[in-house]
Amino acid sequence: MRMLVVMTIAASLSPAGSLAQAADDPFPTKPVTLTVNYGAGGGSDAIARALGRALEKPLKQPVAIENIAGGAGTRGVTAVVTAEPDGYQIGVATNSPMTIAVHTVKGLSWGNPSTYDILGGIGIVYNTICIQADSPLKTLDDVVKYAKENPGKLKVASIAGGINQYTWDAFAKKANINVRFVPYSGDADGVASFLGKNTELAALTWPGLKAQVEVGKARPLAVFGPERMSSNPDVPTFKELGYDVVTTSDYVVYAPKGIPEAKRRVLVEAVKQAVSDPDFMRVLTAQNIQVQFTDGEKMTRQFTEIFNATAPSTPSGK
Amino acid sequence: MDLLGNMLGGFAVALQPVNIAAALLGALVGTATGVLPGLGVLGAMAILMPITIHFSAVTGLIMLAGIYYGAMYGGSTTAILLRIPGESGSIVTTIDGYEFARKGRAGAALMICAVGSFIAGTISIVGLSLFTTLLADVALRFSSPEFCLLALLGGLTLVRITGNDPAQNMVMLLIGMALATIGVDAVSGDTRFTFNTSTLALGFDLVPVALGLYGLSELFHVLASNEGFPRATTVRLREMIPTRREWSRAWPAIVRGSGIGFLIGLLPGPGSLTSTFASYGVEKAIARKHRDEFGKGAIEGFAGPEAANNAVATSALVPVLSLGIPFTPNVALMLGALIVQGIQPGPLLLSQHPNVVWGLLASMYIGNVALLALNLPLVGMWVRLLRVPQYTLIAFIFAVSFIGVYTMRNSYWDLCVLVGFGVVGSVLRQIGFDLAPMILGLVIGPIFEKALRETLFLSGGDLTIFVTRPISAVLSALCVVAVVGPTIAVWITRGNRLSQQS
Repeated sequence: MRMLVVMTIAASLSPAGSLAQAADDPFPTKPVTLTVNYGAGGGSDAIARALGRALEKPLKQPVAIENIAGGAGTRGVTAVVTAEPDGYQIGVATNSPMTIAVHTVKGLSWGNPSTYDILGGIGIVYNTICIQADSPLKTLDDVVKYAKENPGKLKVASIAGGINQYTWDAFAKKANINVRFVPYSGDADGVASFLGKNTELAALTWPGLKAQVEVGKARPLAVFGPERMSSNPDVPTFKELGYDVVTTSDYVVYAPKGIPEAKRRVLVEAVKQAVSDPDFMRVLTAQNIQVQFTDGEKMTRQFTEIFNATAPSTPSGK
Repeated sequence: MDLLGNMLGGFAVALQPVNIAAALLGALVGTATGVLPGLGVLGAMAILMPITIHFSAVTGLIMLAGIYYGAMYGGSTTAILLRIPGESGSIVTTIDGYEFARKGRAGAALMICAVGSFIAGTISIVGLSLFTTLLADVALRFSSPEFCLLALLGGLTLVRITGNDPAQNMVMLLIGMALATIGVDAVSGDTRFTFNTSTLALGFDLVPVALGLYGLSELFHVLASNEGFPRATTVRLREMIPTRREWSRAWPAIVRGSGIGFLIGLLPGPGSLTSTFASYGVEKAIARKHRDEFGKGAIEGFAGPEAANNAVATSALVPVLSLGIPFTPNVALMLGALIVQGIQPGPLLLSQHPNVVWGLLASMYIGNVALLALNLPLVGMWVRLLRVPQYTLIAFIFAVSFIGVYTMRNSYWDLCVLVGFGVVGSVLRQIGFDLAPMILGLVIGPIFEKALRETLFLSGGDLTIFVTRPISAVLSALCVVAVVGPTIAVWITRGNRLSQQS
């Protein structure tokens, strides 16, 4: 697969291709590779495949999906950002490898969000805190009050080192509470432990917990989004409850830095159209991800903010 | 009868021509994947995943499930004939299955495995159809403390499964566990022992390590010696059908293996491998008459494990169908096939999309019958495989192994691991070390470590959590028995002997 990519890049560097790019140069004229930083079959892969099909319509070229997993999601990012910036190699990823794993994985050839080019955000994953459905603690205020009176007694299932821990820590600091943080390696493990009643609380992603909320096993206290979710308007945000912590995990489409402006415009336009594609929306909605196009510049600012915030306090040796 | 109605509805879905075709295609691809070393189930499922988009969700799911359980049928073939495991779930089969084949009973061994897989598959599907929701609730009672103790118990008991000195096996187990710590730490996400390289951050994946240790080192061994693979001189029907005596030893092991596999499949972790070790350990422990045969071609030593890995492939669907929680990458991939179709997996799947769930279950009955029908005639063909000139066969296995390992995650590093462990495996065999405990260490090491750390986070560092939870308390007691039991047994026998002498 990588060989193939290298070969197509070589082909694009042949004399005909390297002539000065006129603004009306047709682009793309050959298949585009969309790299996803996780293996086939996961949530990210499903999104990449749906995005690939949706991109084929505006680009009028086949879009090949390439799975490069490993390195906590950073390997796929490396493959994209070190590729030739000719517009034929783009990638899709969440902010986790780019803003959090980037601090822990050693030997990366890229760093803060200025070292690559975000074309746009395509979907938003909300983070939430849920409590056991049968808990006597009904509201977030109840939980905070109880946690203050009984420091270290409540337990929360979450994921270490990622956006979930970053979010939880920010909330716990604002609320000034001491809750035992139990880190799991993913949504599946965390949700299973919560369902097994090992912890009272779960601080995970909304997609990971929503199905359990629907069957009445988990009760959402609030979400960390900038505003309430359109799908569940009855769930308040932490911000309106007085805890100013706003974090989301975002899926973005990105590319190596330095793509000629004309080509970049074509790609951004295609991404914008793909996001409103009904099939694409169906795949994201099935995972409870809010479908929304966000401008690349805004995404870059947001990523930089989390990148800087997580840089010094990244947990290590836990 | 609600169940009957559901099941009939399921068969109505599964018997649609496109779904029968999907089950057959999946079973066929699965068998081929299982037979070819290096080509993993996960890889095959991932490659065919995109095709499922063009069909309905249930069709895609039927095909992917077919690959999964089909591979468990095929995995034993090369393990028995060539002592090279086709899948990591067939590593144990290389011990007794191969020795059994060397006695000229290769055909019979393959047939026992095919029938055993069928029985295990069928028992598990019945269990799955009847008790899905109940089993999911039981599975949730197992959490980090229980996983930690299960892994510990597995390590303590299974170092005794091979004939070698348990202390020597323990060293190999610990080396395996140490190797597993290299790469990205599953709890904190930090990288460990990587010397700041992104290559070592990939860690040692089970597939290239197992294939190197078992597959490549076996090929090196064959090339270096003049012994070669066991030769099948005649392929007469009589030699392919197990005798009545062989059956009577095989079937209780198959039933036990099915039960063990079914229970292990409910829990997280690479169940197809751990279940086979557990089944082998149980068979050896309870064997009375034929205990000495273990390691030298005991029927129970491969009939049980091969049934166990098939049962896992079915019961692993329990947490995913009833809770929407995937515990293994294979099952996560099947969830992906649902998500791509816009179906939300979760506890509501059964009530919102009964056709998908019951259609899948019904298709698995059909798939298992198809696999039995497919695999029995193939036995003769596989045995003839041994007549292929060795230089062709060896070159072919080398090529398939390299392709298989590379396609896994497009990494040259995994090829280095494959070759490196091929050499390590050869050396260790030469000096008489057993390789199985090392693989086991590589598998249970991460489970043990992760579960231990999660447990200590959960209890705030308090170790009494291991005895205050009921299931944990039982497991802790078993661990103690596993350590002191054999020593006490030795004392008792020695005491008896002394008292008899005096």
